[in-house]
Amino acid sequence: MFEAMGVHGPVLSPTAALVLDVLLAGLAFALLMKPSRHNTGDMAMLATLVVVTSAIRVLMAPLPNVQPVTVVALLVGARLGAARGVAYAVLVAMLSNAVLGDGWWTLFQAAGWAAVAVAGSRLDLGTSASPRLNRMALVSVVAAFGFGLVTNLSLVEPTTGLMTFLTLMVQSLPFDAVHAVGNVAFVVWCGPLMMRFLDRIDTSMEHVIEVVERHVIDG
Amino acid sequence: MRRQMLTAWCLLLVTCWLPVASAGWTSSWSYTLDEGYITTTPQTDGEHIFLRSSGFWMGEERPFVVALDKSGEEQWRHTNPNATQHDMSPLLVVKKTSGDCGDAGPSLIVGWSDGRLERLAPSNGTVMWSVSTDVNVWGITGALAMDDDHVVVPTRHGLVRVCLNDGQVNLSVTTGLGWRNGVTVVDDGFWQGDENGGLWFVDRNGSAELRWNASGHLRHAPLVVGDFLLLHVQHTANTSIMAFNFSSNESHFVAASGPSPAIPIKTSFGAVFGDGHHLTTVRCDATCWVEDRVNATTNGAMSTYRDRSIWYPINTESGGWGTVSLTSNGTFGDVNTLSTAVDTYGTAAPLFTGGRMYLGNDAGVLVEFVDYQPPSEPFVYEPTATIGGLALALGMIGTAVLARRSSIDWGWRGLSAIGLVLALVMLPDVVTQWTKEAPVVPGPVTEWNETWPDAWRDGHVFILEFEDRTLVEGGNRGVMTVEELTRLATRELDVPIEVQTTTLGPYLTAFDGVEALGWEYFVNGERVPLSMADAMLESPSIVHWRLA
Repeated sequence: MFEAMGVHGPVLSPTAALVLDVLLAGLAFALLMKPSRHNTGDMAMLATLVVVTSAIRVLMAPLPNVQPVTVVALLVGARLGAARGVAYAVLVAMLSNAVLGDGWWTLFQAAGWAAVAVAGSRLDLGTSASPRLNRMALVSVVAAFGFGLVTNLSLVEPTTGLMTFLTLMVQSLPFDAVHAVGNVAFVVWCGPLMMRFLDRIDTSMEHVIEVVERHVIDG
Repeated sequence: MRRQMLTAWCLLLVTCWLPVASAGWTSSWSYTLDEGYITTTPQTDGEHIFLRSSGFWMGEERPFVVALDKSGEEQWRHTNPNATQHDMSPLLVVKKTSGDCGDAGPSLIVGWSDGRLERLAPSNGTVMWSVSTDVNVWGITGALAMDDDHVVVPTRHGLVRVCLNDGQVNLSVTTGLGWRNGVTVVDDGFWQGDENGGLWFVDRNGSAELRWNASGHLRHAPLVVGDFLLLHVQHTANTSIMAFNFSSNESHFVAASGPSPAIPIKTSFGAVFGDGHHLTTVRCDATCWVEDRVNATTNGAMSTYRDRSIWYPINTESGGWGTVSLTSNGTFGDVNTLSTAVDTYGTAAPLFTGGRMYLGNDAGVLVEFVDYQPPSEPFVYEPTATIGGLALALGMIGTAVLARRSSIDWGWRGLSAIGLVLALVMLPDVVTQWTKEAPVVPGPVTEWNETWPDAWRDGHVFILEFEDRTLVEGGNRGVMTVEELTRLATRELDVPIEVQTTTLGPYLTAFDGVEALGWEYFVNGERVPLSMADAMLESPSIVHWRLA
């Protein structure tokens, strides 16, 4: 299935790439359907977020390692929960890499952003009314280096030893640092705005639940 | 409180930015030898920079002397077709002489390893006369010296004295077997050491006398300090600094020192010695003593700069040049190093002339540096840096004003945006520097292939590995970066390349139309995480491109 080993890990055959994409898409689909209580508007807003942030990522690709998706994944996880955060991470990685270049690394980028989203779901980053920007900025800095760690795993080959991997980590530190600085800028500029947007999705979901519960009571 | 702190930080960053670090040496141009090393100190007549190549010549190439103008353009070149050994005798520039044997105009005197001594015209390299001296594998390897209107030449077995005007040899003396043993001229004759430790005095009548045996190799011209000759005696694994009183014929031990001595230099207070372990200053009065000592590694020539510092080549694989400040009584100050993009082994001392410094090393590259002195020389602003600095200053001031008068949120936004822009602007330089410091990821083992021609050994080898074929091009010289080598070799191989310009430098996207998932390169088996334009080559290197 793997055709060769390259700088980004194994070069996938067309069949392997298709299988990987189907698995990732299936994972995202399953996470979005569970629990099955979303309305169409909720899904549309999340889909819009995926498309918009993917487009922004593509547009910002010329800037080395400036990754707006990391902060959005963090906030999606924090406001919408781990499941939808992971789904968001997978979909953005797949969609943006369809333009930037798909491959073995997509799996690791999706995993990296998914880990950020899960971390976000476990942290109290405030609300849209009172966002905790300091904590958000700090977490986004840590997330940058964590994401770098996960994506560097895509470079691991069967012959890669621990020291070689650590060397790769050390060499990538300047890029991770730029990622961290970019994350802080995104938090400061867009954090509160993103919180308000995500609260609307959250609110719409709560509204559905409220309507359903009222119908049950009425019934 | 936070607002005031943010304001203070912004203003602090502005003040830090404004004095852009422009003081010190700035490189201006470089010149690369086609073949060989630069192992002797460049020389100048005020109009030209003279270099000689050195190497062990097996193919068709031969050593040469080259003259560059002040912009680094080659003006002339003079090749010796008969020399095949390393040429280590420093070039000697003479302005004008007059005396009993006639008047001589400006001259460039060259001693060759095949025993030939030549006087060249500095303006065009014309050979004005040529003299042969004795050869035993090597010929002339030591430093020449002037004796009024004559040049005194250390030969393989002694010395000769040649009239500069017409090349007539009027003194030829046999002493001991010599190697790099320069001659020192004094009023009543000449001092010279030999490979067996013999210290010889030759009077002006040609009478040679062995005055002392130092029990080691004497591979430099003795230094006259007061009544003493100072000598750096080379033993198998270490050296001794010795003083010989030529009035009383008595010698005494001054200090033990490290291996592989450099050529010592005379200073106003005494002398400076260098070797594999130390730089040592020595002073003499009724006796000689070590005044000061610092840790350093140098094995070639050294030079002084404005009588305030010693400069020396660091003869190690990582190379570079060391400099240490010096007081008038021979005490050392701080030791610093200067790195260039072509650092490697080196034995040639820097040449200082007219506010410029010329550094040459075993890579065969000569780099001119300009000494920026704020009080005496005009500051040349680099427009991009100036505009960037002004934009940054304005941004910082604007952010500070916003933080002070308006919303602190806008202050943070401004600061974060400026921080991001700065990070992106600095990233290429940071990555370049980081790569030098960070460990290297090993790549495919690339070793010399015995099937490659020997003629390739002194040049760079270029390997281009496609999925179905591998192309190799070797013997590439005169290139400094992976990009230059790649462009040169692909031109030779007739393989078209496609290159994109990115913020991190040129990015090679395809060889012969093959893009796949990208290309990566390795230099001597190590992956270099730099743009190919920033990856410097130390000669000789093996550059291996393969599909990512």
